[in-house]
Amino acid sequence: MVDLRTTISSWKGRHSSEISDAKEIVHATKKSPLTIVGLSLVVALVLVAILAPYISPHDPIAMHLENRLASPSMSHLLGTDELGRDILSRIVHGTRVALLIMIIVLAIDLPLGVFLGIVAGYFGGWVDEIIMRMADIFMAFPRLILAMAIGAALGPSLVNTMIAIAITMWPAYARLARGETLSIKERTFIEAEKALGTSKARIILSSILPLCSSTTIVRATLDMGNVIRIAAGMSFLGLGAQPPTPEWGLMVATGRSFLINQWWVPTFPGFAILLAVFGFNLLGDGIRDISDPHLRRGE
Amino acid sequence: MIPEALVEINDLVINFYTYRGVVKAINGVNLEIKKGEFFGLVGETGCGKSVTGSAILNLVPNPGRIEKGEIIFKGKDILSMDEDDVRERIRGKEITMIMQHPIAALNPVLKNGDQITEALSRKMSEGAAKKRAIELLKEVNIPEPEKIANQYPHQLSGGMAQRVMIAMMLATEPSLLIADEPTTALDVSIQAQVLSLLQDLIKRHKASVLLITHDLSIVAETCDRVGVMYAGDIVEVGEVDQIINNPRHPYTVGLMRAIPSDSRKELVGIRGSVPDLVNPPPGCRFHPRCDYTRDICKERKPKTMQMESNHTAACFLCEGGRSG
Repeated sequence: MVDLRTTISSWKGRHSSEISDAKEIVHATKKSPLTIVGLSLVVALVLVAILAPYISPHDPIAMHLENRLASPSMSHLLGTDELGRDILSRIVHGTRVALLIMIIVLAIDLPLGVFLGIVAGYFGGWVDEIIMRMADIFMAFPRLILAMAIGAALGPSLVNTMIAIAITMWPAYARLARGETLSIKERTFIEAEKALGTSKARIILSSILPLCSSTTIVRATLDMGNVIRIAAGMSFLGLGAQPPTPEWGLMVATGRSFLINQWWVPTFPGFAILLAVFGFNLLGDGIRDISDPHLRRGE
Repeated sequence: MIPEALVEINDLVINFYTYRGVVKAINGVNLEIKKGEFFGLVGETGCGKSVTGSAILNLVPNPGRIEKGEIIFKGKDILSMDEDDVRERIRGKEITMIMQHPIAALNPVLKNGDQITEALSRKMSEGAAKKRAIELLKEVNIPEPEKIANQYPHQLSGGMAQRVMIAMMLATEPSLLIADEPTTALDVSIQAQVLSLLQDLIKRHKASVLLITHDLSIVAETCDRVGVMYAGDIVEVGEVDQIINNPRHPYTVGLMRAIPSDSRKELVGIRGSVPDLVNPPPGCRFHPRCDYTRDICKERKPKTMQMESNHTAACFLCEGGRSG
């Protein structure tokens, strides 16, 4: 018993700065109701995605043609679509698809963009020229249109959608990381590390990367909503997920011909997109504000 | 026995290529630092002290370029060595550097202890490095080293941070420590502590120090020998009491007169200001500000003259002595 207590108190002593940081973050979050709304929405989405097979009332793909286009009722809370599939179950499973696209796209983009940006910023010269001019080419087009063009060229499928979105998004991270690197590499402690004979790879990994990560991660949280929106948009246009995948954009697309008489078919998936994008954007804004010491001090 | 030279700088020329033109920052510097000595390099801001220091590590900042010269360290020319070799064998092994702003010179995302372990990581295992880091923090008189090791640099005062920095540099057991204005950012009382700590440690570790400063009083208290720099030239080198009590170069004489003391009622500054090194004055770079300028000073760069043992000055006034 005493042992446990001393272990806990020594752990507290060793991690005192982390504990106070965590307290400060909790405190700042409490002060911003919109962040809490965003956080709750995101947490709810994640839970729904994880628990999808257990909480969805019906099979999302099973067709019941005798019960097509049924209006919302107790057995089908959000009604059924043109093939008699339960819309609620499809939306619940669609959460998985949406979050999966988002996670995979960011898992490709964030490391790729940050790596290229740091390399460009740290080495400069022609390396910088090549990487940043490539980034400029991608940034010259509106993101959605470029993603559509690439998606159309690769052929319509979920994987190609992810590739297309990933290709259009890395330049934003590369630019951000490059800018940070340019200022970080002139700082005194980098000079001190050079004087200690630290290798370039080690300077990049242990000094520049951690200092770039906060801004780029904040940027990534702001982009989460965008990824979901673009992916849904591409599926809506037929470039993304293919039937019978329960994907929100695809559901809106097939349901839009029933909008006048069976309004629930396209409307509820549309709401799902709205809530997801809204939640991620609010959370992203909140994380940006909390991680910015200037804004925090202003309160 | 005369101690051997540890570093020998021969005819070092460094130019900076800026938009305004070529800044002739270092104009043929010759310098020798002996084993185990505390060498002070003094001069005004912008005279090339720090650039000389970073040249020893072959880390001249952009857009500077080493045009000419050699830096012989333990019999090898650092400037003609391979960049990877310099990094592997010299920096952080044989020669290290302490910076002016200690807090800025520590990595803000690493805990103080980890900064030191990082420096040790090329030498020993992680566990051993952690132990050694605490020992080193103790050695630089940090109270509660375990606690400080667990804090981040921004939680330290300037004096503490400079001690951590010194511990970090000592961790590598260098034979030459370049201290670039190590106390400028510190309070006067902390300055004295840090300097005496540095002196102690240097004696214990049998290393040499190149102390770069603009403060002659620091030099007088701590150094064995002094070099005086002016506008990219070494104008005078000698033992501390030779420089303080018997300065021979008009610039050094001027510096001495500009220090307040009890016996002097009025402070006399050096007239004029530091020359623009894009278009440095011809001949002796000090001649526009010198009280003893002769025609020859405007035409030729004076050679370094041997005044007495261990004391040299680069001035035509000293021509009575032997040419060295």
